[in-house]
Amino acid sequence: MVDLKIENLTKKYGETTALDKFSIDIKSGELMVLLGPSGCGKTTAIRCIAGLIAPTNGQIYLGNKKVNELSPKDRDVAMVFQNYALYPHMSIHDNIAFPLKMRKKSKSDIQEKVIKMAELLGIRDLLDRKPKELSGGQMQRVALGRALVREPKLFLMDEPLSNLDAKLRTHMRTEIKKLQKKIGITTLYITHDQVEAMSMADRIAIMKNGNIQQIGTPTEVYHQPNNTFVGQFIGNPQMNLISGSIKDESLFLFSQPIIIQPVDKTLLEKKLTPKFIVGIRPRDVIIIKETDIFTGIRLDGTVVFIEMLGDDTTVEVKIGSDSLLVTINNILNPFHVGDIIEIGIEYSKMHFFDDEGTRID
Amino acid sequence: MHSIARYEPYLYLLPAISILCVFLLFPFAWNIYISTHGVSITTILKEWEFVWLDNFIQVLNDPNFHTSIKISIIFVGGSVAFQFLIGLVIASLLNQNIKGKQILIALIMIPWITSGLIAAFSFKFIFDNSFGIINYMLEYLGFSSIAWLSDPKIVVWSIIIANVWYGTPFTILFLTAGLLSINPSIYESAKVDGASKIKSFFYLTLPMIRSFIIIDIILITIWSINFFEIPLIMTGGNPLFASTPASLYMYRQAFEFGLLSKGSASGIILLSINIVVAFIYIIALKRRG
Repeated sequence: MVDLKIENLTKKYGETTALDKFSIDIKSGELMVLLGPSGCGKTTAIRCIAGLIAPTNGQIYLGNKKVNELSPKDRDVAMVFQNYALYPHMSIHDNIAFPLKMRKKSKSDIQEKVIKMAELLGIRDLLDRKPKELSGGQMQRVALGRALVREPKLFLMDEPLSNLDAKLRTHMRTEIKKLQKKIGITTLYITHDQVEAMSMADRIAIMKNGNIQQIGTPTEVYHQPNNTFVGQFIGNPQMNLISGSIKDESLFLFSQPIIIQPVDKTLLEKKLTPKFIVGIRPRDVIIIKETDIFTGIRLDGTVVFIEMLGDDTTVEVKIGSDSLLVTINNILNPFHVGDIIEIGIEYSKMHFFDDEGTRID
Repeated sequence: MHSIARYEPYLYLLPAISILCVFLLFPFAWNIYISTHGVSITTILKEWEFVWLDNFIQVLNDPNFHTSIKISIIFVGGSVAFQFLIGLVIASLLNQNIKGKQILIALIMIPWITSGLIAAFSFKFIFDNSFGIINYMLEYLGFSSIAWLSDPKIVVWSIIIANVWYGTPFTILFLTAGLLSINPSIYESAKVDGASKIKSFFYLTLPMIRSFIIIDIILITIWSINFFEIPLIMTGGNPLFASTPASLYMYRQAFEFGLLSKGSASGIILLSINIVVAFIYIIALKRRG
């Protein structure tokens, strides 16, 4: 197993820059997830690494070896595609055997490795079938098998679960993660689904417009987002962003400012810009009942929308001209639209960003 | 009222069926009738004598018919082989990312949209022994000119060249459609799996467009068997029968020599050959589905 090091990888298509000085280190055996909305450059990055497209600039090192100039087959990299890209005219056995056959392995060697891989993935009894006779989940396993059978140094996956239904997706992501740990292969996984990223990744790299916004463990990116983009991209429902400012030891929140007095001392110690943005996750907002003792910020608001999600309920609360999303446990429908409720925000749960969106600690 | 409703669907089919009867079934029956009677242009107004299978025996014993079958085999074999191979190469090249692809495809289609007659006349002039451009070029470059249309050994290749020029665009179009049906990420996957371009072509492309290849070969085979405009215009089947495939043999018997019954009989023989090829076509299609 080897590590992957990428330095200043840039890809331009004419005037547009798809990937801008992309740098990342992936440790040996690590599962790194590249997360970002569509068009953020994550697919461009993975295709440069696989050797399917040539970068405009930058270096790719696999282990200690620079692989920029190598063709895909000489990089010893395997890739799983979004639509699996199975070879439709070949049996499952021949599909998995194909990379070995192309590398001129002996017949007995191929046979042994294909069987071993099929058993590992639980598709032993499918080997004689054709891809079109398989379900989505089975095709997914075949694609994984074909990629892993030749024991590559690096494993790339380009949104491999997006063609599966929700239930199977949840199942397969656990399975892929387990498989990856079992084999111990260095992996770069692309997705636009933050839940997939959070649940699978050792570390996540969040991308926007060809740039990496933050690299960190799922806990880090959730609890200490580098900027408002990361804050809003990770977590569902997305983080509330509230405009704020401090003047004469009073805190002003929302666009029709509400004055909070006295302001907590920890806030004054922060190097806050004159105007800033407060981020608060819906789950961190508390509904205060009359009997509760609460020391944070207390606010009154009107319930304007209730979305029942099963385990949780999301409540949209209007405060002045702004609205705030609040997630509560699904107690038996305590509110109605139009109710006035008191909500609470703890100082320790607040994230601060400057007016350009960069985190302030 | 009830009984009308029952026959209603057939009523709608009537126009199509009647056209089929007038232009296909009647001539076919008429052809069989003529082929079993002794009719020639000189005896057409006299009583037609029933001669059983005499005409068929005459055709099958005619050395010229044997020649024409030989010519047909060379003509069909050569046309199909070159149309397919050239078509496959050009379709594969067009499937790459090249500039001006759309314009190239349009240009390549020109022979196919031209009438066969125009193609035949053009090649008649191109191959002309004394004022054709090919012989002019050959002489200009210091070679001796070739009797493209009068040398019995060469003439069949001249009509094959004309037919290949005329027919190849269909194969290009058809195989391009086949190539477009392949998901491009399959090639990327193969690249990462370690397949070279040549290996992907033989291991992936060819098997994946297999059904397109089968249908294409069968169609161009049937068309080449029946095609006679090109030899008719270019050489009239001459010298002697050296450029007369079976399709033109039939035409010449009936309309050049006036032997209507003999022409009809050879027409029926040609039809049976077509039916055999069509059967292969149906079987190939069924195996595919």
